[in-house]
Amino acid sequence: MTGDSRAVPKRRAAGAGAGKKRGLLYELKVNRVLFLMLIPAAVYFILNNYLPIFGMYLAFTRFNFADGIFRSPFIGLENFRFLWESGKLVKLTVNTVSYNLAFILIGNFMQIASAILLSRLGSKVFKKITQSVMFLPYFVSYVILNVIVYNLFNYDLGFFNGILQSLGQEPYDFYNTPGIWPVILVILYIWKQVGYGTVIYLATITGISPELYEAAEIDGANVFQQIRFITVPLLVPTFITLLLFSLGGIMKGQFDLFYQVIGNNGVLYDATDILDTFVYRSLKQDFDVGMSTAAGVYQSIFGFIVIMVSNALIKRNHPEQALF
Amino acid sequence: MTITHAKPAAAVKIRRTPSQLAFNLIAYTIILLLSIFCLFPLVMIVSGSFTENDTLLREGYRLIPSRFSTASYRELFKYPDSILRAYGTTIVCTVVGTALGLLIISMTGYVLQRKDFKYRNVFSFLIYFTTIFGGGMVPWYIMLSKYLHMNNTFAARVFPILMSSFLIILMRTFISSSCPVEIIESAKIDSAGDFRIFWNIVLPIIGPGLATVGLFLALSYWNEWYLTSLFITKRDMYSLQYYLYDLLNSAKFAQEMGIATGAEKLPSESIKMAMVVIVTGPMILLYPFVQKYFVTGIAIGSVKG
Amino acid sequence: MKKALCALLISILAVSSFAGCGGGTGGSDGGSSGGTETSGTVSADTSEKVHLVMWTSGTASRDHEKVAEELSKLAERDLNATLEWNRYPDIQKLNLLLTSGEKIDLIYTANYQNYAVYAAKGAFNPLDELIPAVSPALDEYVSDEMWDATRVEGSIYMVPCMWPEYVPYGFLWREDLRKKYDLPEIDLNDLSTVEAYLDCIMENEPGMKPLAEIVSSYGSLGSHFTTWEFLDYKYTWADFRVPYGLYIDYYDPTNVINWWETEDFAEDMRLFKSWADKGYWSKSSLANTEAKQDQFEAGTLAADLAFNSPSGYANLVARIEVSHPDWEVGWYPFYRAKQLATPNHATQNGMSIPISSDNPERAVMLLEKLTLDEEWYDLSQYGIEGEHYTRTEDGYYESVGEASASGFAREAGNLWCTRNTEFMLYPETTATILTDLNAEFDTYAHPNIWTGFSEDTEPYQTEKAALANVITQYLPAIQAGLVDDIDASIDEFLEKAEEAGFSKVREEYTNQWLAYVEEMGLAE
Repeated sequence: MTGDSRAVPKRRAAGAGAGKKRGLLYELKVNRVLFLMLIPAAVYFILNNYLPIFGMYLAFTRFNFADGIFRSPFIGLENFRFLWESGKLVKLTVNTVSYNLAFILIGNFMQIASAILLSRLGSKVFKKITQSVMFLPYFVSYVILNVIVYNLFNYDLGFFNGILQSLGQEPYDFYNTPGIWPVILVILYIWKQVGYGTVIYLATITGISPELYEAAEIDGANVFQQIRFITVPLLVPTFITLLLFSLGGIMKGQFDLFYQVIGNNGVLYDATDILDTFVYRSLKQDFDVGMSTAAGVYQSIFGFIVIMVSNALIKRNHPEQALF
Repeated sequence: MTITHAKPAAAVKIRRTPSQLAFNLIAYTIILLLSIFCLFPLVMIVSGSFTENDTLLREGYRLIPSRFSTASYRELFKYPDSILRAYGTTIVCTVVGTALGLLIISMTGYVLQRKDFKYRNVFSFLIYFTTIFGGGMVPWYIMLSKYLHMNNTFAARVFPILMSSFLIILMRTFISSSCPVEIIESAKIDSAGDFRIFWNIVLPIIGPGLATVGLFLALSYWNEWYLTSLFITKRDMYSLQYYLYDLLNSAKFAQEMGIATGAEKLPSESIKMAMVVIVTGPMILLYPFVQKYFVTGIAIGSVKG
Repeated sequence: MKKALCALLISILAVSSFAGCGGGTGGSDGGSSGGTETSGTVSADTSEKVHLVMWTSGTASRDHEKVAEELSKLAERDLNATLEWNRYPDIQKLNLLLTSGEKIDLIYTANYQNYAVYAAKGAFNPLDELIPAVSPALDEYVSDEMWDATRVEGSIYMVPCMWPEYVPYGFLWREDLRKKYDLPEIDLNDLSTVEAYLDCIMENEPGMKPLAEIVSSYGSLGSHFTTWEFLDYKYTWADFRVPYGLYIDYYDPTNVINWWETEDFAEDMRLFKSWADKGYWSKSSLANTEAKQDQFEAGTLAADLAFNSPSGYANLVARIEVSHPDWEVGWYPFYRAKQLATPNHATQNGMSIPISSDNPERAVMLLEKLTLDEEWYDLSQYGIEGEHYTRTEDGYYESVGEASASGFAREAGNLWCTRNTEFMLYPETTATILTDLNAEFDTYAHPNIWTGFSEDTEPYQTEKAALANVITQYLPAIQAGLVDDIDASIDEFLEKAEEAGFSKVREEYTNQWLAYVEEMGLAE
């Protein structure tokens, strides 16, 4: 950084109001390469995200085709009414948040555990094969998954009821028992995502210096202690990153999972309805761009509050891991 | 500057202490169970794809086909041109998108973890912000189709998923955790340019990070069907997933509307299963190449300036 | 924008007055003669070459682009325009296309795809003056009643399909099995014949399910279990899709009844529960998505309570003749049971010109060609002659090669909106079935009074969204008989519906309907 300091006086003389020693112009000068390196990403986010973001205005208008997006009449919060007047908003919010928390916590636990175990297996062949196998479910779309789920759980010919019957038990009516579905949905989610998340943690573990373990071993630490005191703490930053990302989307559900697996089965809705499926059902018949945007705005604001709070909390304890 | 390619941590550790034995017992059991749990439905899928549809409807799914049949594969490859072209365009988009995305993502991640870059938090926030707030699909679609003219171009299949804030921040974490500040500092003292530091010093030591992010990018390109459904109307530009999705959809549409005419019939269950195999197959072949970065690993701790 | 449109209309009017009127509705015999005749009626200025974009529903067949290219050549020859023909696979895409203002000159619309809602919100160009000005032939081809039926808030926004189509549901069964077990003939006016058949299947055909009813999301409001469609056999309602549990009797349209609250409804639901308890359909039916038709053709399903449309039946018979020549299939259309047939409403199939179109007048000319010019018609509906189809000596449609493997099957373009009786070709196998059924329906046909009515959901959009949710959640289980106590479940359902604003929706809807009845003079 010292090498660039001679540029400062010049810039100061020419630049109007560049009084602050570390103003934007100074930064631009000193770190111009870094800024240049950010340009591709900046262009991407401006085009793909920031310009379209003005569409949020749609949430406050009664859209009509003749007037288009920005000239349709402004109607304030009218579009939000269907959310809170449904009388289900609280229930939906609770459902969505609980499912997501379960996905995040159980999911990350499973991923961390399997990453740690995988990283310390001796047999390379076994390690490779099992890791591949765990990654495969990621390729199965929820449409297909639903076919499998139906064939596992249906009353008459389902796989599990086949087992129950062969054991002389009464068949179990999964599809009319809402209480069992949160468990099934979480298992399905884990099934699909475990390999994906494991890869992230595995990559982090691979980056840990072997010297740390060697030193620990010399100090007499056994495997469990090494994991407890070396591996786990070094996974914390990655975990926090993943956690913060998931928290921002805490009101956005795994729409595909719920939509495909639960589908039109209203009997299960009390236990399985999340905001996204609710909005989809409400607006499927006559789609209203204003109302669907309103639902999106609600999700965004909810996520924003959650993320600001959690980021602040994390900043207090682990300043390095905060997102921003 | 030296980069030591060390043996994997685990391989060094194998020792026959009681705790290691206990650990092995637990680890092998759990991983084995987990693998079976992951594999089980897939076996049903593969078996289903090799069973005739009528048999599936009569007998349900089995772990081993009761009567082996390749009818659904023959059906899917009936018009090899179409499906091979879909494979082709998907491979090209995957390679181009992954390479380009990986470059930009790692570049951005590198800048965002530079402690001496004053605006790193501002930029991180701006990037993260897009995951929470968005204008919804309609304005985004207008942007891409009307202003960027992406309809019926491969750009529409590459650009929108070129990067994501998740992958950028993930990369930032990978870089900052595997690339000590001292390396960059000492390189700066040698008056290396910022880009050179990134290219010559940082990139080579973040193998696992690149492999992970690259894998995720490749997967999203490989599985892409949504962008095709929005922006592509030419059949020979369809992505593989959309091509298959389209096969399913064409008959379902007619059926749902209650106006099924002609000879349209829902593609059977076994064809759906065969589709999974067809899409997943090539990725299984690719995976080992990426995997070596996680299994062997390039240990980077012993890098000294 | 509006000013520009007015100016355009005036200029079109001026040009068209020179052209005289063409009565080219009857496409006479040969394709070429039809072409020359109708081209005389096309009258707007075509000196500037334009690019036209047309969208129809569904997904593109393998040879879709090939056919579209051929069609574009015709467009270049006849209209001095190039043509791009795209497909939208679902209603979400249609929505996106219209909402985003994509440049489109001609798009397929229909009442079941919210034609009236889009029209009312200003998505389409009004055609009242445009059509007579640009295409007197088209104006004349569509009857006045059909034009009127497409009006939304006084204006015409679609060119409707003039081909009368009956699409009733009906009970489908295996006649060969009925004969095998010597059961009474199926007659929907006597449900015991149906029950006897289903009971017999349960007892004697272990590999076979009697019924496989499922939840369908295709309804006018939320989802329903397919038993609901079956009820169409007994009620002479204006339409079984009248929403919000309202019952409008065809013969007494001013008397709107809250059907869900009647004993009739509870009675019907109890019947379904008794069927469910007998095991006619699976306890997991609400989650099932397996296609009924697949199972029927695989021989694992004995009957379908509500199988749709004569052409669906005709196609099924044609396929089964090949796959299971020893079978015999029976279909009892609900129209027959109640001796009331109502053909599709005008707005069931149509073409509209979105306001984003730069060339509305050329779009009209294109539509005229597609509908009234036999050369255009054959190409757009049946593909390339010799490659996709041939015309038999008796004037039947014949697919080249196996029909299911065709690169462009019959009517694969889903151009249902331009179907023209004059040019329509049937495959020989289905022709007799269709002709017989349509002739039968004609004997007790009445005009369709309900599907042309479109509600204005503006005053109760919020409530409707909430209600759609309640219906989807509670109604299918009741219709499937998969609840312990029908009456208690109906009460709970109605209570939840009430909380969602049921009364308001019903009241508004009823008022709008009564106003429509008044306006259309349907009361007597």
